[in-house]
Amino acid sequence: MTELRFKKTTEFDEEVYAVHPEDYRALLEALKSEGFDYPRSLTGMDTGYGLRVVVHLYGIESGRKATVYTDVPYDAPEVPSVTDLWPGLEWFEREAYDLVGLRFAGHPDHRRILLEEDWTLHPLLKRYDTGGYLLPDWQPAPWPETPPWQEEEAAEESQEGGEA
Amino acid sequence: MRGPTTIDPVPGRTDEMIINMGPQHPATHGVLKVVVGLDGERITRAVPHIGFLHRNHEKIEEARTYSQIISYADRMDYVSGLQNELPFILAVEDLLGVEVPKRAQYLRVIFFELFRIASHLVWLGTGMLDLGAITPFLYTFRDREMILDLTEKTAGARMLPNYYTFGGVRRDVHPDFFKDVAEFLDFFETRLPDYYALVLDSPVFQARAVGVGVLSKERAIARGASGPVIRASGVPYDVRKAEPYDAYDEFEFEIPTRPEGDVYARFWVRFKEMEESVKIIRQALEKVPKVGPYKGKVPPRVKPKGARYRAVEIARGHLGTYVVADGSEYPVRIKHRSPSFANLQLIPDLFVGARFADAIAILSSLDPVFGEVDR
Repeated sequence: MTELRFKKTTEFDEEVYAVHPEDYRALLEALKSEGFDYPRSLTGMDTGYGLRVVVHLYGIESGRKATVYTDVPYDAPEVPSVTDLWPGLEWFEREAYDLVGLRFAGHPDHRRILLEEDWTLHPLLKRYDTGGYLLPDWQPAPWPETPPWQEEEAAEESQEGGEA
Repeated sequence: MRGPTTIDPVPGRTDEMIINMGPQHPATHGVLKVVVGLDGERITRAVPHIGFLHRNHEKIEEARTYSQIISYADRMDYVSGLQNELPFILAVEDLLGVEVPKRAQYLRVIFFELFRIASHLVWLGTGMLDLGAITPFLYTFRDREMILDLTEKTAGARMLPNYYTFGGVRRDVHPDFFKDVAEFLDFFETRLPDYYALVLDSPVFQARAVGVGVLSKERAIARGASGPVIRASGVPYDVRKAEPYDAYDEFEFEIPTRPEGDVYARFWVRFKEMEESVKIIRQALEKVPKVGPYKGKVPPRVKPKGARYRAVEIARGHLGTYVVADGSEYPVRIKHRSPSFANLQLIPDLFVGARFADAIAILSSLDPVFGEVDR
């Protein structure tokens, strides 16, 4: 796992991995083989500069907990699907697509799930208010100089608020 | 229009019948639509559609302060309303570093288990209605009413009490509370044998449940099933034991599991869980500090920072809440991982190959509540 680009921290009782989007699937495959067999949750969220996908895993035997997240830009919101590793994330990925607009390459049934099929918005994006209207003065934040998966002491506490 | 209202027929086959089950089907416990293909009595294909009750809680919650969000969490799984508040509160407490006093932890546990019994009673009544038995419904709702009365006396509301809060509970219990709970438990224990006789021991029920809708252990884990569904498949996974919250590590109770993974096993697990809940509440009534604060020290303005995922074991399984906070009064993102949502993914696994009449029994053994599936 040494060549993968990720940063591991421990928060409370969980291992938290921030991973480069290109290594997202490779890291999850490695974790799956380490015994994280139970998919707890998958969250899509809008960080203000891009989209983030957060996977929560659990090992039934070991009791270990892991959180894996990666960021992708708004104009290329795609990560590989991991439904073949954990079939239980199938609906969670559909939900992340539905509400946030993330795409999951290789998903077996890539449709909206909660909203109607002909809906056009992804309502959890920060550029919409609660009514679904575009906020007039919303601007995306610049992509952080040090993304969460890079080790750099100087800029570790960068401007992003919700670093998982 | 919501999605494809049908599935495409297989070319060359004219004997497959395609039926829309729901969203207004009385046995779908709300608004679930399953499009099924039938070959005679056997189900050949099943495509579930959800989202008819979608309110987008998660977007609404981004525009509410943390204290306001608690009452929204109540409204997810309205059958076990109070239990839904807890993972969100635990996550925020972790981020704030709040200590919960012992008495508050015990009060939380007592209410948590009371609501588990109440929720299982609703499931038992309505689940048996689906199978054509009307009698259990009348009994279970009477017992559940006693729990709701207990809640009303202390919290002021029956189903959606909004009672837990950061650092403990919102107000101290009614002076008669512990006496009332003990009386209820005594009464409830005399009722349980009736339920066994009416349901589990009934040969009519067994004929419809044994060997129906079998879910393997591996499939249950991979699909992220939780609660009685995964425990009926032989996996002793219970959040109360796996990552104890509140005072759950101080109680002695068992995790009922069964290896069969059929409808009967899922019914059996829920019955045993009610018995275990009675055991837990009895221990809590003994051990609860009679005096002491019911709420810890919490900053007047709740402004957490960081990200935290916490899970609890509600009546339906693993309910998790992921809170991402940036130090302001409003959260960045709140994600609710609801157990019924994950459990419903099993519909294609369990329906295909079953008889159409058994699909109803399988669905009621999964016990979905659409307030939390669709959120």
